[in-house]
Amino acid sequence: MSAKGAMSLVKAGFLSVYCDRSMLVVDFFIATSVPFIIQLLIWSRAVFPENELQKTYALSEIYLYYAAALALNRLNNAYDLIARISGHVSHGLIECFQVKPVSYMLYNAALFFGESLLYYVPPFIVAVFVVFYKGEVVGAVGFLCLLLLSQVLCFLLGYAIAAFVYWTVKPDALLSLNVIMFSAASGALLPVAFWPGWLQPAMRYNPFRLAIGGPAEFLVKPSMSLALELLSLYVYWGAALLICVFVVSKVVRVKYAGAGG
Amino acid sequence: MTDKSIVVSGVSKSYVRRQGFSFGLFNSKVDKFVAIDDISFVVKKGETVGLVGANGAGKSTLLKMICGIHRPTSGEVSVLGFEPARRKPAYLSKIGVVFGHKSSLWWDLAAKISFDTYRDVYTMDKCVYEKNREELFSALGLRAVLDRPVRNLSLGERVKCEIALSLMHSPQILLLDEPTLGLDVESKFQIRDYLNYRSAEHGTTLILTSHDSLDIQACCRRLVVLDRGRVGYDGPLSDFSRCGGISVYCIGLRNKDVLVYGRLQELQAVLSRADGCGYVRVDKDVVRLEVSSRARCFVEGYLSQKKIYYWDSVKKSLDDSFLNFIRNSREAGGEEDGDE
Repeated sequence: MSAKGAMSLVKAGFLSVYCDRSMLVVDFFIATSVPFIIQLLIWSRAVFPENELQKTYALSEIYLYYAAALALNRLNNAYDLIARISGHVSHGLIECFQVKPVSYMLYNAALFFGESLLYYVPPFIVAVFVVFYKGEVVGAVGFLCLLLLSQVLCFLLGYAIAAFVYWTVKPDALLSLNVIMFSAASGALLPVAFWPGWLQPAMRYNPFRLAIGGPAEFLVKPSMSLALELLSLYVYWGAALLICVFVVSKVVRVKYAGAGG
Repeated sequence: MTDKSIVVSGVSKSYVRRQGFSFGLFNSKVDKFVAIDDISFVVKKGETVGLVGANGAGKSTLLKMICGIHRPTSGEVSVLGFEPARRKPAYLSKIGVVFGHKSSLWWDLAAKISFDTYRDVYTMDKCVYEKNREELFSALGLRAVLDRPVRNLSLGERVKCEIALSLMHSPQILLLDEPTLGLDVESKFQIRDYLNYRSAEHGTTLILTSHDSLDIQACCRRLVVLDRGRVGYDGPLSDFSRCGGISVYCIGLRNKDVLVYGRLQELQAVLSRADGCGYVRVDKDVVRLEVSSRARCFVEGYLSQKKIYYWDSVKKSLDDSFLNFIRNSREAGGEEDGDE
């Protein structure tokens, strides 16, 4: 696919989100602000005054972490991707896209990035806030760079989950799996340091953390070791997911029988 | 340079279906369904081919193998020198495919945005795009709908947009799977006219499947009839009718009337002697006579004289020919036609 073709698909993805303004209002104001306020109340009133983990994260850092994590949670959201692919497969519409001179994966990738464009605004605002009020340039710039990698990884995760729609009757199970994993394993609920010791390796090295918790941690506590850890994990999980998607696509090509006319 | 667009040789396609539900990985029973059974044919450049068959005959499966969605279980498909199942972008840029009722347009966006997006996906030259767009939009009456969201378009408008989209990049081969399903008469005429124009002016190879025989008659010169995954007939459309182009009329009689008076054999003997009375078919309750226009008056006179009630004579259509073909084929195959 040419760069112009990819840009046009990105534009179409952007417009399809932009035209649904009610969804934008809900996403930007309600779905982002309400969880943040809840987290703010929990941490300031219930947890923090007596908590022993004050040494790990200051209250202001916790607020910043959640602001970044919530913004990333809206940006890296594969729900629509899985729902779209599922709709294409279950209604046989995928055939219309398989006869276009662009791979179905690239088609979805371009739309996914287009649909996410507006959601770059909240993380960008968080990064600007950090620069101006904390004077932390490295964390903010690193955070913005990690946004792009986190998007790629989120797409691969969503696409890999969506590949299993061929084995399901309805997509609900996969959509629920997506929501649960992106909520529980990504660090959107708690930073890695807050989990019990025996669970921390799983929370640190799973791919969902790279979509949300990893960049948020880097914004709050930037360090070379964290940057290297995250970059290594992006490479590892990116390659693993690409291989997974490739293998599943091969299997699916044989399995997909489609319907008649 | 070869003049063959599509070469299908010894192609079979079977689906494996699991019977029932099983927790075991290896102990579930599988059912093998042969959708296409050893089909071979060649389509030359610029040919217009109608692909017909009963539901489940394998039309869509064959079309999907030609456009690369399905890979044949055995045999080879070659289209414009490409192996379709590899789905090379260079190949997909040379074909246009329309699946009736299935749309690749963006549902919430104006139709125009879909056209502009696919223009870039197909990396079309701007001048060619402008020219094709003007031609298609005026021929299919689409100018007024371009600024409306796709979800607000009627079914016919959506299908016409889909056809326009599949032709926008000047494909050498156009594959249409029931494109006029559910369309009004005017839309059908617009589509048929444009397909004819496209085929004649641009030499576009056309393969059309449709259950509307008028689509086939209007757009195709060659007919391929599929019956349970096999090619039952492959030849000129005009030769498909048993009577080779003579106007044929179907006359219906109540079987009861004929049987009561023991006249069936007498009727058959009379008809076999008369020129142009070639076919008597006895169904469960109805006897259908197929007679030429010349013999029609004679037969109707005979029936009146013998006081055998008959009803309106109808001119035989491609549908009748197709129906007879399928019935004969199944009778020859020893299958009981129980649902008639």
